[in-house]
Amino acid sequence: MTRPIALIVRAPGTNCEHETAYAWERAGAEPRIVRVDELIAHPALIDECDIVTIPGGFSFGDDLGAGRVFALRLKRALEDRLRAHVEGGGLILGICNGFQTLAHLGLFDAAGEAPTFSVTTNTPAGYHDRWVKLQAAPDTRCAFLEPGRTYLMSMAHGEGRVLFRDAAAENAALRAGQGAFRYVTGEDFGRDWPANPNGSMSDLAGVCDATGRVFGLMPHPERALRSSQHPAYAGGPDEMADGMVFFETAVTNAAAIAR
Amino acid sequence: MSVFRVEVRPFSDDPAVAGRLREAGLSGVQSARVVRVYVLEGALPATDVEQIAREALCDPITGEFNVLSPGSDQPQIDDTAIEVHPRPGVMDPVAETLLAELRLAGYAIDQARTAARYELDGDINRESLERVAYQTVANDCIERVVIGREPVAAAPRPAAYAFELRTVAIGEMDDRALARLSRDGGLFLTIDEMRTIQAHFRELKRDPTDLELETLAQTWSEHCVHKTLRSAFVYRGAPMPEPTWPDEPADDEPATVEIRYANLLKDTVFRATDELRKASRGPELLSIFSDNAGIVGLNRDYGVAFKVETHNHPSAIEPYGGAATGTGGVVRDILGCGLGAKPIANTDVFCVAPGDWPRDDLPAGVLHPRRVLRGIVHGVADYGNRLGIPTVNGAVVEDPRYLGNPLVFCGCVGLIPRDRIGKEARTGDHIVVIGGRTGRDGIHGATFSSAELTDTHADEFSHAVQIGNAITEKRVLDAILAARDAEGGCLFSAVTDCGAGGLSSAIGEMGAEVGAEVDLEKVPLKYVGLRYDEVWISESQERMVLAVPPARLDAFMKVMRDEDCEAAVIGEFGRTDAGEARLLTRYEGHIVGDLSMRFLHDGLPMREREATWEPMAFPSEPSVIQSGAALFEKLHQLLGAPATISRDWIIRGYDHEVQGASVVKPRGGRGAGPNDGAVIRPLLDQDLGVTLACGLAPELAAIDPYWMAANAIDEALRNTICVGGDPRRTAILDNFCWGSSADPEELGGLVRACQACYDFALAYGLPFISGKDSLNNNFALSPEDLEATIDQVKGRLAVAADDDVDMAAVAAYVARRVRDTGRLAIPGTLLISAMSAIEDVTRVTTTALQTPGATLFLIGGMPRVGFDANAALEIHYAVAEAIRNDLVAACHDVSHGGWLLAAVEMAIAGRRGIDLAPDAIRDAAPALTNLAAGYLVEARDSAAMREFLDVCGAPYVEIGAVRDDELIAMDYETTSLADLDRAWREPAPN
Repeated sequence: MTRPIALIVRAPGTNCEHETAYAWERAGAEPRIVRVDELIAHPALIDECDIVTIPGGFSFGDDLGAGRVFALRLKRALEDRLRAHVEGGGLILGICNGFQTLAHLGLFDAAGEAPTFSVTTNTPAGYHDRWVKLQAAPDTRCAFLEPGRTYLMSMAHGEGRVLFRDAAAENAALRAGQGAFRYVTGEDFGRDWPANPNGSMSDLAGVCDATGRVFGLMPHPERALRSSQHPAYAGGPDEMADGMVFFETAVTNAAAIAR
Repeated sequence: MSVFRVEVRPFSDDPAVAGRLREAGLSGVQSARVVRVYVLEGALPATDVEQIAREALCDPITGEFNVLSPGSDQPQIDDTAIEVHPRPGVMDPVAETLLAELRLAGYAIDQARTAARYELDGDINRESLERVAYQTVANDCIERVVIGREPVAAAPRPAAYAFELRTVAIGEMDDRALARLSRDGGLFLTIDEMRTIQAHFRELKRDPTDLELETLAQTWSEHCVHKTLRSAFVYRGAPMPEPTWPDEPADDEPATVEIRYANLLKDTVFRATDELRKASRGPELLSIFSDNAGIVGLNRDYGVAFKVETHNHPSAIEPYGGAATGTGGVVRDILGCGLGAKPIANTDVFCVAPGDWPRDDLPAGVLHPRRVLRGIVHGVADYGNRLGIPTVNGAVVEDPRYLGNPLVFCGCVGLIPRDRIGKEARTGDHIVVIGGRTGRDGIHGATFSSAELTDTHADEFSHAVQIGNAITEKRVLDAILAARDAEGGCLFSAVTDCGAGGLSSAIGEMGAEVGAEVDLEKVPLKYVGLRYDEVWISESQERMVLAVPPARLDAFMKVMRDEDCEAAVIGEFGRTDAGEARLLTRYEGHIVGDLSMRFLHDGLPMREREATWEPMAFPSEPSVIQSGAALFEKLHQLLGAPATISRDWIIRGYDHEVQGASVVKPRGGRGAGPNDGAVIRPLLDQDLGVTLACGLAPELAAIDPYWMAANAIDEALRNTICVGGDPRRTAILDNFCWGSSADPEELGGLVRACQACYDFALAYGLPFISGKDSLNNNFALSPEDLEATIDQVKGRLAVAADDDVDMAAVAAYVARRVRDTGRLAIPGTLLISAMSAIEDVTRVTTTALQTPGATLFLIGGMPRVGFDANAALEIHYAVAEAIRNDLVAACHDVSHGGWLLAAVEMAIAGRRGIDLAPDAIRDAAPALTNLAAGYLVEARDSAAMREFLDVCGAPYVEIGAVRDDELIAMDYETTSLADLDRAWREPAPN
């Protein structure tokens, strides 16, 4: 089996590219970090890869809204190419700032349609760094998740609330199986904390497109690769953790698509 | 040319803003909506502006927009909206990003500005609107408030600059004129220093240019050269304690002694490091005190660098910008260390006054402490988070004496390849400035930060305060590391950060040996109109200076372009005259400065300083606590006290997980309790670790700064050991923040603190590797504010107690000092930061209780004043050894609130209760008292632990056992852990 190629696109202000590359590598993919301007100059890099990843950070300072400028750049130059990548069976992953970027880019909806949801300021407002418990939808098509499985991951953001345009848009997305990943109760990371950390509609932590091959999520699987990253770790054996399962699932599915 | 104003109005209100406005006196505000305002100028058709708003500015799911132009109908005109506009020249990162993006997309745009508009609903008191705005959502020194709506108009263009050489006729000045020049010019030089400069130029038979005078003032500032700590001292006062010889009889000791130091810093802090190095004790030292940061060995390939900076004065008048640029500055120190270290962790420590200070009793010129804390927290968070550096360790200290001078310590740790540590600017190397452009912001930062604050400082020095742009710095970070690691070798031969003193300090330092010449018109500017001397001393943020060999310049510039980091060649290293290095500056070919590097760096006159000290307050008897309910009530009270309360809202506002390397985090265990320090894994594919911890004890300063410093070191070491650090491979950093550098009493305390640094660093085997001091942390009160301030300080000191300090005596002493001097001085504060390299992160420990039934041991614990350093070290080593031998399941140091509070914190972290042994409360050290060399440990096997401690000879008491539920129990009485937890966690302020 050849190693799938995971392209990691960075912009000024991206800051999770190295640990994301490390995660892909450990999961059996071949990571390649590329600058967004390089990618725009050489769009064929997209065709040569299996997984496009937009990692976390504060691209362009999030100065015009989280992921906004990054999305503008990609939309102007690469939207068609990215859509063709998905149609050809390729995967696209956006983590945290990457999710915000994909949402602005509109890759969760059909070409030419206005985005049906936004990833916006938390309720209650403010940046928050904590761990969360998550569950994949039992019938999800998402190529990055094991259906029904629960995951523990780290999250750290101020703008992670999934907000649909209206209830109809929310229902349509859920019916189409886009509500892939939700915050769930059952783990005590802090007394009195709500399971849903940011007020997301339907407790959504991650959303996929209708094919399941485009996935964006606010939590950071690359910060949950082994037990020593967990806040309750107190020394001892350093075992594989849920984030590793996340990346391995994607590598398996990317390889299975075998383009 | 046209001008448009785009307003983006969210669909939802901002309750936090409304709350803040109500709290500040606009009680009728029901709701507030925060509208983002963008002003665009250029040859833009209106249709373009609509498109820009839709594409880039407004998210249709969260808000709507409208576009205004001059003369267009302006909807919703009202006079209860507050608009906050940055003052001209203040950094506006959003506008910079927007401008760059729109130009790239092909829009004909010339200028962009932004503002925030607060649209209020409710019963609004128009008279107080502006005042409240400046107290809450705007800061006068960087922003202006408009009530209603500012008319849509083009921004005034700054006038172009026409060169004119300015000299200062210093030759004929008498002392009074020299003093006036120093004061009015913002030079902050002493009369001795002014006379030295005068003599130098008389010898040269010419007057200095304004630029030359400024260069000297910057380079000779306290901030840049640490002239106080490097001075000779004569100390007269009470004898120094001898903690390594505590058994010597003290009966025949004289009441006062005289001790001389040729150079206080060299004779204490540096000397300890020297002696330890000669004795081969402590970690492997790769670079100490010579570079921007200290570096110790990590493994065969890498070292770790650590630096902690203070950014007190700017944070006092603009907390958000001051703290953000403090973070930015220390990160650049790490980037400018060796040939560039990669920042891998940040630390932050804040000392502030209590947040419930009555607004009416706030002296003129002082921002409310709550606003200060909120601002500095957001500043550090916004900047550090954007850079992608985890903020993993810190502390908050509350004391009323920090009212006028809050302290902001920002630290940064970097990973550096061993073959990238040496650097040297060589003759012929290009001088290249990279990163942000130069503006009028940050002028006189170095001299300002060396001065005392007064009630008018916010006005006079607003230009010293800045807003940072973290993404510009992120570009600099990425660009430097890419150039450092370029194929075929590093593309530059030296680098330093452009911080205090701007280009004058950076180039003056780098070229100290070989000389330098600079053409100032080549420096990229934010806007036209800057004079040559302003370009030279501006401290605009996010700039670094590099020495680039000509053969590598093309490759270097390509890396800068790739990383979208602006770079300009502005001169050349290597300029000598008769064999002597010169610092030559030109503007459009005219020579505007020509200084001897020798005079610049060695010409500063040093004088001997007088230092006196006598004890003012004494340790008090720890309180005795009865068993049962009284104890639990006291526990609740202590958990909510400023020294111990959990500031989760601060910790969780920082990203402490980015880079995926955090192993021990600020909060840990199932119950998210407090950890003592942090452990990170600097190389993801290896098990090596770095521990970070800190210690400080300013509450002891009034008893004796000697013991204040000793306990800071002891606490930093305890915290290091508690997370699994190796006490034999630990390096420490000193940050002194002190009062007046002209007051012999203050200096007496400083000498004692320095002496303790020497004694304890040597006794404990902890070399200092880097340090930084900040002096003159005084606030000159205006006479009408004096009594109210004294009342507040006194009243608050008397209750803000650690029970081993007689705070009533401290309060009386402080009140007397404030009345005598008219100044509120901070307590002498020494922050000790500690770093230790460890072999294996799977051997860390945390505070969280693990196993029901396990026994809790109190190991060691001594009164904080007068303890024996050697005995303390044996305890430290015993605990570290026990952890290494895997005898310890959980470990916490004993500090504020004593061992009992430590036990409760361990219970909170592990979500497991404790059965307290009633005997222990009677037999062990006082349960609620802060101790030196004290640890609370959960044993994996109590018999093995007992045997180990007996063999070590470490004193211990068994104080209880872990329960399998969430109750703290003693003598058949219990209290619930959930209640204690809630008492401990401070809700986020609005």
